[in-house]
Amino acid sequence: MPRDKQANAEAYLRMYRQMVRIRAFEDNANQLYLNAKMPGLTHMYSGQEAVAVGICEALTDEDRITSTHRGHGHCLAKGAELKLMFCELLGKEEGYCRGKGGSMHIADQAHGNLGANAIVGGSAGIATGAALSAKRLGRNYVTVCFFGDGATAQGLWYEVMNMAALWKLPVIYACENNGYSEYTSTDEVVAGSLTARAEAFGIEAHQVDGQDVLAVNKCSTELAERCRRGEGPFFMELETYRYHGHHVGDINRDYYRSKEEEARWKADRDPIINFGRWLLSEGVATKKELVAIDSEIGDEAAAAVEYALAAPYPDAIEVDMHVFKGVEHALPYMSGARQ
Amino acid sequence: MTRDITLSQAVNEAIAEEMRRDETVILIGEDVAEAGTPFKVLSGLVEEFGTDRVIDTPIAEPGFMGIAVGAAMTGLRPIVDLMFGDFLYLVMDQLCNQAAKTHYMSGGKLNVPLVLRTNLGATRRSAAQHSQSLHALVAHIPGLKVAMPSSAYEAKGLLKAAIRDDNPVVIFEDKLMYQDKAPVPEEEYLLPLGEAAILREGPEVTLIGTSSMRQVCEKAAEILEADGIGAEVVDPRTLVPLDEGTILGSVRKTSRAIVVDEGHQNFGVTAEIAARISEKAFYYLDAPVIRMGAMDVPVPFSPALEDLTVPTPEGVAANARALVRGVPVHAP
Amino acid sequence: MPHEVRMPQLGMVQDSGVIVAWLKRNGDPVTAGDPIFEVETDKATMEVAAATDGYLSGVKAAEGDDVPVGDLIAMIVEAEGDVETASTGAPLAEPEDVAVVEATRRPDPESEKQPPPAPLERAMPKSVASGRVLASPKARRIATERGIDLHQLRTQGVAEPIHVADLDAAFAVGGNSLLSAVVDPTVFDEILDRSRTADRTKLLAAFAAGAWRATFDVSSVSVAIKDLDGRREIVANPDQGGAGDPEDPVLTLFDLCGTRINGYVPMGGGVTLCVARSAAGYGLLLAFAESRLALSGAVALVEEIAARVENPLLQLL
Repeated sequence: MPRDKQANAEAYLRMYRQMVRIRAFEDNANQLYLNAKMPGLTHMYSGQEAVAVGICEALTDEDRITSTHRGHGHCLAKGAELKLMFCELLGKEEGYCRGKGGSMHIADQAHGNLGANAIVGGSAGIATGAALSAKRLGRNYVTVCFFGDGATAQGLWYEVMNMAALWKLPVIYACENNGYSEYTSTDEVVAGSLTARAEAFGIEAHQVDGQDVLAVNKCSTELAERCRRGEGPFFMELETYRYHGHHVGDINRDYYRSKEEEARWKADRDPIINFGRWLLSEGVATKKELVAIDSEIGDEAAAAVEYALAAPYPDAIEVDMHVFKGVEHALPYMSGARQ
Repeated sequence: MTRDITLSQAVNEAIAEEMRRDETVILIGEDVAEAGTPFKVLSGLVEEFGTDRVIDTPIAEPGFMGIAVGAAMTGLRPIVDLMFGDFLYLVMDQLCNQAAKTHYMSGGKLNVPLVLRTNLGATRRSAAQHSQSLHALVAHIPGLKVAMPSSAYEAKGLLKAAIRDDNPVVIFEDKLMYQDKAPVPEEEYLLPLGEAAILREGPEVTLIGTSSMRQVCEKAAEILEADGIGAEVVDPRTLVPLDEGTILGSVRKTSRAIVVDEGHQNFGVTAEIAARISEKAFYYLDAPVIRMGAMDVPVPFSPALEDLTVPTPEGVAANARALVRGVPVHAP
Repeated sequence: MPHEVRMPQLGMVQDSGVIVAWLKRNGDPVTAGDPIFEVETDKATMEVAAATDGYLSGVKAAEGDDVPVGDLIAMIVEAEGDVETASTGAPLAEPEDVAVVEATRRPDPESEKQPPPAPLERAMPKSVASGRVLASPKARRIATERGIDLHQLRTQGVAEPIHVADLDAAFAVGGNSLLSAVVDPTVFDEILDRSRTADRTKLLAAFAAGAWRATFDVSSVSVAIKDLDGRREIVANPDQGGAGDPEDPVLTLFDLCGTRINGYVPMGGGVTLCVARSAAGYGLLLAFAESRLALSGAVALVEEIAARVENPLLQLL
């Protein structure tokens, strides 16, 4: 293989591995929930892997993202480790947030992940602020704001898009349109077109097939580079699909979505299967190599789950720690104890 | 050396000094640049620091609040100017769900060093949506610090400390006090968050007053002095953290306390401080702790009505007199 | 028609109620709506009010009794003459027949000059007859530390809620201790009956002065004679025919015979002697501050007075 083709092949295989990793994580998380081993609920990213991976593979560790309640995919795609993610999901001390955030709040600063957000559309301001910092501090990073189609109904997004456009901030608003706003079809909650909304602020908008990791990656790479040149902000609408319900407990969902529709997306539009086929057809990898990747990641995920299940919970003494930076324990501090 | 400057000048000086000291400090909000806010508190700053650091925003409080949170998480130290305290309701998600919880939810990885400057205070004839004192709302939320400067001196010292704090701090200035002068040191100083001040000593009753209610308490203490009653006046300065040691120490000495605050009385700051006194100094109390907050009605427009809603020195003195004489303020 | 007072059903699943305190005593007049006793159920303590006007009669349950719901515990009768005696000790365990005079606050010249501040509610407790003495937490703590009985302060007429200043005032005069005795009336009554000139009050003053002289071995004894209308007179050495000039009285005598009042302890300390006549005989009540008059001396004094009332001839010895 020529050198650049070989470099591309490495990038392709990395994208494949990242998507498989996300799928494996979610499958295990779902099992943890079904087996009553996980506290609370979680929102599965399965089906949308090409969006997170396609975008995050266009970013560096220096680049920032903000994520959503359906954020495991973003977090892993941005470089998080399975073990520490499972620990966080199970509320263990070793988790990314010492068990204080859980599934909906994983933040991984080392990889530029400013955190998932359990308020729908709640991170639009944070992402835009991170872009303001980049511009003000003369740093060359780009911030990607992930949000779903449901979040486009929130007013905050329009306020910050307005300012981002006025101030030419290096931010990409990445809307994952998975067709459902919680338990309601997006058609019922979105009037007009989403791209037109961004365009109304003078923001360049792109529609991308969110099941095609290469298409997503190509568009993201171009937009990220243009952001770095001061041409931001941008808007991407990524058409995608979530395989599970709104959350793991949303099992009987016939009333808003048919099983046939789900089966059709899984059979025809699965981002991992389709990308695997493309890798085979292009000769980037053999069937055997892909199976080996699947199996290796499967083992890695299983081991991470075992590790997290056995890991200790945080000590009770931690409960009032990390309320304020620079304050060891918040409760005595708030009553006036001198630090 | 001190000189007398207005609270408005004190705020302006604090921001200018901190912006000179630290390049990452920015100012963001509606009409903060050339307009210098409706109260002209920020006049002159944009000339010195430019529009890159003194950033006028559209009228979009949740938007610029959210942007400030993200900027604070990524290396800036924003001072957010919220034109009226009443607009806190608009920014509650970004302030209370995002800024306040980020450090905790991230297990200490991320932090949000921002200051939200806003105001409180009625009797400016501005009616119910521009006159509220809503500090209790944010004092209720773990993760936010809350400062209540009671004069130009506190306004400068607390604001400088707030700007240097690594956490979100909400600072409430009384908009009726912007033109009030007080002696302020010429040299630099900070007032640490969480240290109350005893402004006047007295043996018989403790008057705890926040923000401009400190002045009300001081005037009440003068009235009481004429009656031969010695009142101690305590200014908590910050609600979070609350310097319980100073407050409880005073109440243990005097056995009687009146808590005066301009927020609504029900479920408010007066209730919280009164409860802590009752819990922690119960056996030293010779009278019930009396709360005096703003009347629990929306702030009315008519001066004839509005003036009834805010605690007055005469009202505080009357209650103090009753406590000291052993006359129950509320029938047992 | 007499009205029955029964243990009320106050909770959904309540079988009985504990009588915490009687707020009225057997024989007391009651008005419909007056709380007459406090009852404790599984949930709370509640006051039970009289359903009709009349007199509390025939009380059958004592404080602390657990009474089944629906059981008769007293009657309210129309006429005072119909009052039946109680068949339990509880409300009769009265504090030495000391009449509780309506509590009044010490006069406060300051407050008289100034009208009360408008927003203040100056309402005072309507009655101090309920079980719990109202006192500030600090006053309660200090009372415990100093061994001061708040109930006794109430009995002395200290207004509630009691504050530390009230304790200090009471403590400054030592608080009032009470000693009481009942004396056989036969001889003294006979003397008063047969003599047309005998002045009961003057004789009592003479007995008190004589007893004081005998107990404390002093040469001059003045006694203040007061009545409930506020009249006051000081008699020098009444046991020696009133010889000499009146000096500061050693005690104040209230002759309450012929009234329904059994005792009165004024604020302000000093030694007070009340003499009342009841069916049982002459009741003596000595109120004194132990900081000024030791208990042993007070006991000796009351013994001497009682002996003189019982046998006036002793006075001549």
